[in-house]
Formats: sequence, C-alpha cells, structure tokens
Amino acid sequence: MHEKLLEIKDLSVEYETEISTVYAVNGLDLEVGYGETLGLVGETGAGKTSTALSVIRLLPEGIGFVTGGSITLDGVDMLAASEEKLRSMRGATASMIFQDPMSALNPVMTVGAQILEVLKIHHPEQSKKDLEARVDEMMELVGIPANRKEEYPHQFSGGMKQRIVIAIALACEPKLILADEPTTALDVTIQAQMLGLINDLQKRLGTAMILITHDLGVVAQTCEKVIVMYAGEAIEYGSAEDIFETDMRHPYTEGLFNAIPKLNEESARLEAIDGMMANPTVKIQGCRFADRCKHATERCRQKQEMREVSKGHIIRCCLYDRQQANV
Amino acid sequence: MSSNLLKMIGKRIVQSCITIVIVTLFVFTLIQMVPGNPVANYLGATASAEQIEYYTHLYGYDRPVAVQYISWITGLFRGTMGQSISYQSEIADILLPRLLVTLSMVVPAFIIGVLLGVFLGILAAQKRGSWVDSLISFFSNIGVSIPMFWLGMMGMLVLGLKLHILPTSGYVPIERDPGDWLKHMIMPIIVMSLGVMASFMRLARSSMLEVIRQDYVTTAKAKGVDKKSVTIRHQLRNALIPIVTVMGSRLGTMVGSTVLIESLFVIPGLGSVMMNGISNRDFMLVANGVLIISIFVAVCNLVVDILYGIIDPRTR
Repeated sequence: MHEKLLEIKDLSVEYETEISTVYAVNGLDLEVGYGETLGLVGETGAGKTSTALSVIRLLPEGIGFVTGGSITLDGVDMLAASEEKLRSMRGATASMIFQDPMSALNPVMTVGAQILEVLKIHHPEQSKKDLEARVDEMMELVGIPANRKEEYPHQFSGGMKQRIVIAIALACEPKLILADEPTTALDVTIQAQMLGLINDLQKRLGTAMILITHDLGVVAQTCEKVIVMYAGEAIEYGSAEDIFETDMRHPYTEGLFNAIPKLNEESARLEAIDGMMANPTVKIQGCRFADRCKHATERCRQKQEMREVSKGHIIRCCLYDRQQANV
Repeated sequence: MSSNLLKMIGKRIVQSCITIVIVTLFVFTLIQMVPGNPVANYLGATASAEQIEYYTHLYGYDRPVAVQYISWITGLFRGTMGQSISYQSEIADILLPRLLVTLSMVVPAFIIGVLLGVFLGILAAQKRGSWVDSLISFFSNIGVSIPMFWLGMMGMLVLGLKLHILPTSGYVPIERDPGDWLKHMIMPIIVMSLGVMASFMRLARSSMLEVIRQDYVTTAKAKGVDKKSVTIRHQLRNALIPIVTVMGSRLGTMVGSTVLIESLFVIPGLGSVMMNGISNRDFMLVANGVLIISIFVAVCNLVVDILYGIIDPRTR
C-alpha cells in the first residue's frame, strides 16, 4: 500500500490550439494523503482545473495533453494506464464535482438514472434492486427525498442539482474527490450548505479531496493543506495555518489576501493586484509573477527554486533567501 | 406525465384541423380566381356555349364559391371527394393510388437519407478535424447545393443511357412486377435521399458538436461511462432534439415537392397529377390534393411533437 493516495510529480499540461500552444501547467508537484483535504487556490487560468482533469485523464480530447511528469493515483500510474483501467477508476477511485451544476447533469435523463449509471458501471455484480436502494440512500444522504428520483434536472434548483452531482460523485465511495469550484455557481447561503455537506460526507466516508477554488475563505474553512498556483506553477505550499497565520507568504498570495475586503479597516479602495496574469503561450524562465510584483528585482528573472521557510511551508520566491540567511 | 401528453396531442389535433380548414379554404377560393374554365378546357375548342353551360351546371360550377366549398366538405364526410372533370372519375380513386406511389418513393428516400445522414454526421463530429470529417463535410456541402433535378438527369445519363444498369424513367406498379418496380424506383429514391442525407449530415454534425462541448458529457466520462455509451446515451439523445424538429417539416415538404422528380422520371405520383390538375383548371382535383398533403404535413408534425415529448422531458 502506498502511503500517498495521489502523487503528482513535475506535471506539465499543454493545450494545442490552432493559433498557439498554451502552457497550462508547468512542473507541478503535489501530494494528497488518504483522507486528506488539499486546497488548490489560484485565479482563473492558473491551471487548477487542468491539474484536476489530468488526474483522471479527462483533458479535452485532441486539445489538452499531459506533456511531462507523472501522476500516481492509488498506486496506479495514470499516464501509462489503459483506457479500460482509467474507466474503471473514474467515478470509483476518483470522481469529480464540477463547477456548474446547471450544465453538469444530462437534461434528458432522470436524476435517479444518472446516479444509477455510475453504480451500474462500477458494481455490475449487484442486482438492480440493490443498486436502486443505493440510489435512494445516496439521495437521502445529500438531503433530497428519494421519491424525486424519477424527476429531471430542470425540475430541481441549482443547489439541489449540485446535491445530485455530489451524490453521483460519492455514490461509489471514491478515495479521492476532485471538487472543481463546487460552490462558485451557487449563491452564498447555498455555498455554505454545500461545503458543509461535502465536508461532512467526506469525513464520514474517509474520502480525500482536492478542493479547487479561488476563495481563500473556503480554503480556511475546509482544507488542511494548501497549494497556491499562479500561471501553471505552484508558488506556495503549506498547511492552512502556514498560509493563514503567518507573515511569510509569496507576494502573490499576499496580494490575494489584500484583495479580500476587510470590514475593520478604513480603506477607500480594495487593493487589487496590478496587471494581468502572465501570457500562458510563452514559456517563462524566471518568476512568472515578477511583472506584477512590487518586490521584483533582477534576480527574479532567473529560474526560481522552492524555498522552505518553515517546516512544510514552501515558497517559490527569492525574497525569502535573504530572510532565511538572516534567521 | 401521460395525461399531459394526451392533452397535448388532443390540442395539436384541434390546431391541425383548423390549419387544414384554412389551407383548403384558401386554395379552393384562390384557384377559382385563376383565369380559365375547367369545363371549356375539358370540352376543347369546338364546344358550343350551350354545351359549356350544360356541363358547368352538371358539375355545379355555377353555384357560389362558398356553396361549392361547403358541399365539397360535406361530401368528404359522406366519403366522396367529388368528381374530377379532367379525369372523368371519382377524385379519391385518382389521388389515393398516386399518393401511395409518391409515398413509396418519398418514405424510403427519407428514411435512407435521415439514417445515413445522421450516422455520417455523428461520425464527422466524432472525428472532427480529421480527413474523415473533411470528406463528409465536403460531400454534404456539395449535396446541399446541387439541384435534385440535375442529379436526376446525370443519373439517367450515366446509369441509364451509358451503363444501361437502370431504366432511365417510367413506372411499373409493384403488383405487376416487384422487381421491375424496384428497378424503376431506385434512381428517384437515391436522388431524393441524397439531398436529405446532405442536410441531415450537416445538422447532425453541428448538433453533435454542440453537445460534445457540454459539461454533462464530461460528467458522464468522469463517471467511467465508456465511449460508445457516452455517444449514444448522453450525446445523441440531446443532439436528436433539433434533428427531430427538422425531420417532421422535411418529410412534409418532401411529399409536396416531388413534382420535379416525378415529372423528370415520369412517375405517376401525387405531384404530377397535381400539375395536370392545375394546367387543366381542375380545381376540385387540386383542392383535394392540397387537402391530402396538408393532412400528411399535420400528421408529421403531430408525430414530431409526440417524439419531442419523449426525447426532451423539458417540453412535457
């Protein structure tokens, strides 16, 4: 038995479009232990979703490619696995919760049939009656009366659809959930409900989770470990405490924190990070954030290594070389 | 659910009846405004004024249009479509066998065209960007833009006159010689189906590509559904919604637009008999022909609506 559920080493993902090549993920390392919750934070285009889709090998066919590195999920080399092996793992070993529940469900299938489908694939040995019973159980588990399973997605509200999506994702008790901004499309009250539900079920079933989000508040509430991604690169690793209760942060992470409105401080304007994310079609040698960073120096143009600023808290920024030397 | 469906079907039947009444009223009135007299046409140039008057009275053409219309409609309920002056016989006896001839050409052409077209469209969408896609798209573009009658003429020239594989034109009733009937029908059916195939190819390709991008397709893949089931259960069922819509109207218009193919291949179908009716000013024949076609279109639309309710739960 491997001690880590998911190990990603030096992962690179590229998208081939007609105009150019987009370098979506560049040399990402990532680990998730059994039952652990990892927050993957970053703004749109940072490569979070590409990372998650790579894990279950569902990058858009013919467009997105894993171009380097390795992904080991539950002891299986995902990049070498056959399509058949991958299919047997999708939904059973690792399943995904998508961002937009409005479009994540098939409009012409009853919700019950959509939950049943995943059970049928991974438990073909069980009788139809047992599987149906399991569908009922899953619906009750996510808080929807089982007698509504004959209804279609359009008969449910957004929050209820997301509950169905969660039921599908958890039906086969996967070891890993990839939750891709599961609450972004929902309104705030429902967001809290959903996170509570996911967290609760996750604990009960002992499932590990990668929670993709751009919401630091969500991370603080739910995650043990955090990775901050910027322009396809991990720029900061640490425990939730490391990142939330410290002064040592990557300047980008610092910028993310400053961009959260604070009620106790008088401030006319919200502090935003100036500039745009680095052009993903160009390979950059040095720090990708340098152009937007107020601490940037010439040294930032060189390749940046990860520096451990405290145990388990790693930052990809040369700013911390000096500080480390001083300590 | 099913009571809703029944209610919808009932509503559509009533709507269709109203449409059919309006269409027939329109055609019946308009065709009488066209210059020319069916009686004079039938009797020829040598007929005397008394003869014309006698026959006009015999067929009741001297009555007001509204009276003629009502007597036609009441006749329908008594089981007669009226007399055709140019054919000198009961109109139902002329039109119904010809409707069967037209349908025996249109329905196979439609089925072949839709099945092949949808299949090739799905194939093109699955292999988008490849040479298969380019080839299929290329031929569907050509197929949509080539006029049917030109294709028919080329077929007659190559298959009929040069290669002597098929007869160039003509019709043999199926009850006389099924083999010979088939030989005569192959070319018109293929010609008609090519146009249908081309447009359904394009439609199926674009609606498949539309659903391939949908999130629920990724959801299905993330559940571990295999490729074939993703295509059939998740993509095709959603892509069928626009395809079914077009299917209904296409079949309806095909029956109405067989005139060209029927006159090209000299097939005694509904289209060619309608042409004769118009040129002879035989308005009773034309009005009954229009009635048959509009009933057919209404039935097609009703079937589409029912299929719609089955395929798309949101319309129920």
